[in-house]
Amino acid sequence: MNLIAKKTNISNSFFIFRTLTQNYVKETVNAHEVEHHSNMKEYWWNSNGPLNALHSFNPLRVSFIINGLTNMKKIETKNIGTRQSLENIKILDVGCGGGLLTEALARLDGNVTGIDPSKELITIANDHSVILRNKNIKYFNESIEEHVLSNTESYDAIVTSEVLEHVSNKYGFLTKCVDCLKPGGSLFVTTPNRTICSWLSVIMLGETFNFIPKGTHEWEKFICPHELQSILENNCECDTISINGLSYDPFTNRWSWTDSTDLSYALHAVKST
Amino acid sequence: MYQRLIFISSSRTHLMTNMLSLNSSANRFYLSLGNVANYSSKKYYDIVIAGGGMVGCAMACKLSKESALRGMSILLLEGGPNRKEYDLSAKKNTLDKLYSNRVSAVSKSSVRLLQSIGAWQIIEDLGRNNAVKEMRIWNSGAGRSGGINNVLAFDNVKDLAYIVENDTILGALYKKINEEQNITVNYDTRVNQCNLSDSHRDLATVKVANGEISFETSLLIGSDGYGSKVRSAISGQQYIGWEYGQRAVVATLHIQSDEDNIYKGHVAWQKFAQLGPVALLPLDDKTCSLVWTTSYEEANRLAELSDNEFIDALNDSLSEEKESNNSSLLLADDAAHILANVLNKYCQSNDENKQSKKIKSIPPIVVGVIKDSRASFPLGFGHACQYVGQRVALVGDAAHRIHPLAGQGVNLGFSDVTELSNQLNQSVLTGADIGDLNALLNYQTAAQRHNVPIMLGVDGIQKMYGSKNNLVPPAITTLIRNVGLTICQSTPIIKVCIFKMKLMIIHVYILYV
Repeated sequence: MNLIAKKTNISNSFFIFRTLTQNYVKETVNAHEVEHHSNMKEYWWNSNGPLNALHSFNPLRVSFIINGLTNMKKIETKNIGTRQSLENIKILDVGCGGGLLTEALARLDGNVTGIDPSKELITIANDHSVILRNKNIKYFNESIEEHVLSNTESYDAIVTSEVLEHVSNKYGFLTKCVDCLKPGGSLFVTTPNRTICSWLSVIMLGETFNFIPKGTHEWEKFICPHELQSILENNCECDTISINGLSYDPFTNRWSWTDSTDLSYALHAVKST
Repeated sequence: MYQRLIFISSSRTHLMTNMLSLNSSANRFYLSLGNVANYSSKKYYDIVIAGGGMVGCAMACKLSKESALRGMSILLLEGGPNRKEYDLSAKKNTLDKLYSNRVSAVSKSSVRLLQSIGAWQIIEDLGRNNAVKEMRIWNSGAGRSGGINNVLAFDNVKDLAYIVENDTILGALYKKINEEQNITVNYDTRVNQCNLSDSHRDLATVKVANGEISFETSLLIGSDGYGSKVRSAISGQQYIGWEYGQRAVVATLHIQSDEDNIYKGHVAWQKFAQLGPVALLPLDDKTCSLVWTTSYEEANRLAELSDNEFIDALNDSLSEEKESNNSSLLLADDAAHILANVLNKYCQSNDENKQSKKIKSIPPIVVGVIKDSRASFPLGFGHACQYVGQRVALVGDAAHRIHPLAGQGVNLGFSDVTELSNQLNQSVLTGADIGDLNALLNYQTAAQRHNVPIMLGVDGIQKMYGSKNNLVPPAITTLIRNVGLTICQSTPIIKVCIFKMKLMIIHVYILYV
């Protein structure tokens, strides 16, 4: 009993500390992060290029989103297991970058909007989306705070994949994201964990041996699943449905699901109705 | 700890720039549409398959059946005309069975593919699939031992493979293709030029030889045989290939066999003669299809012969008389015989197996050859190092060409079809473009892992058994060949050896621990 009380005390004090610091940094967009990612515009869509790990991540994260939405009974039965599985589902991709994931979701007939603070990347994404024929895809060059002003509670699903680790004000970012979500809508997050394992593999090995472009990640900004879960459950009225561990093999360039969330994880949460 | 944040700009200017960038991209989009409209001869299909052979047709059918690819437009480019032979009604007449001289040994997994397409049922209804229940493989130089020690026999309660004529398979596949609305077939169109872009954004363009028409596609599949044009268009392609200096003589034969059990009409024979393997594939209890691999000169000589002379030459080659006069060959044969005895004593468990396999290995006697059924074609080996590229994939003989001695050519092609359509199905279900390079690379890995060992194995057998080498005396090659067959026949010996090795390792391990 005593121990539990102590634990709640500690987590409460953490919570107060977090609110204090996070109220201090209001903006969710970091200029230098935007600049760094804008510099990747040359090779963003090159599937053999420096971002090949991001390219090969697509099948896994798309199937995670589809499975999550199927479990929440958002996908019509006739569309399960077809190319139209996201038909009539309104999705917002926050931090879409060049539109790797956005296009995949649009190709499955989702009604997709991508937003990103980098103007260059949005241009790349718009240029590339020409190869999609008759699909619902829109891109806006804005941050989530700007987007939420006109789009409160209007999306069935929100996806922020490999974005949260570049955001300083995670609390503000997540609450704004959830504000865009319809009640009962799903939030999908994939991000690396903050562990020694992720420091070794992402920062030391990944960026030294160029599996990831240098300087992409700051380990201090990574977030642990329980921290993310506590923000979502305490401040955003969300229920966490699942947290799945991810692992990556740089030699075969393949991602797979694992039991351990030490390296990276995918989280699915649902906004309470 | 946190970086200072900067307001990039006010939201209003943001929206302005948004609108601008949207406008410009929309303009670009309409411009590109305009371009397409100007070149009205450029038609778009989701998938273009170059080459309408057995593998290309199976590819088209299989893709149209995949759940994720339903509704995609498929174009099949066939170099030949819309032939009457594909009309299966001619095959229905079961009284007067006329067989084509080109046949394939269709393996179990290929049958599964054809079943999933629905083509196998058509072939079965026609009764044009003859099961092979036993294979008898023997070597030249079986002298005094009477050909017992160097016969390798596989038999199975279930069927090993099915012998089906190529044009029956093609006819069944074209019947299925014609039922499918999304597949367009262009006959008499050969691929002349393929433009493949390095960029993920651009489509692949195919130019056709006999017209100004060109096609745009998201995925080009090359199944246009071993002289593939699509293959040479892949950037960085390396093709490893050589000719065997041999030709395969094919014919449809009438045979006389004194077999009268369930195996009648279901036994495939293969003899490794001095010049190359001779295979007889059963079509029914009286008819066989011949694949006779031999040197160029011999093939030319055989082509000149009359039908009766041809039958004599073939019967000579199937029996042993000429070779067994050589004393060194007899010695080699004896050595193999002794080895077989030793092996049999070593693994007692094998004995009952051996007994059942000591069947009469008398080759069938050829009594007739069907008129105008004789033909021949050259043989070679080929391997494309890259099966795939940006928006392009190779299947079948375009990617690999092997010696027909094991009858694996078309089966490798069909396994490519299964693998590629599985990968495409999976990747399209997760929102990838149909020509996505990652999915194609997965296909390449899986297909090469499956194909390359078989190709090397078949090539090794060809080198060992299927050719005449002037450097090594024939007695030694015969000995090695016989020993190889003997060891294969008593494969349990390998198991016994491995088992004993394991025991030893465990003993050593226990000692050290």
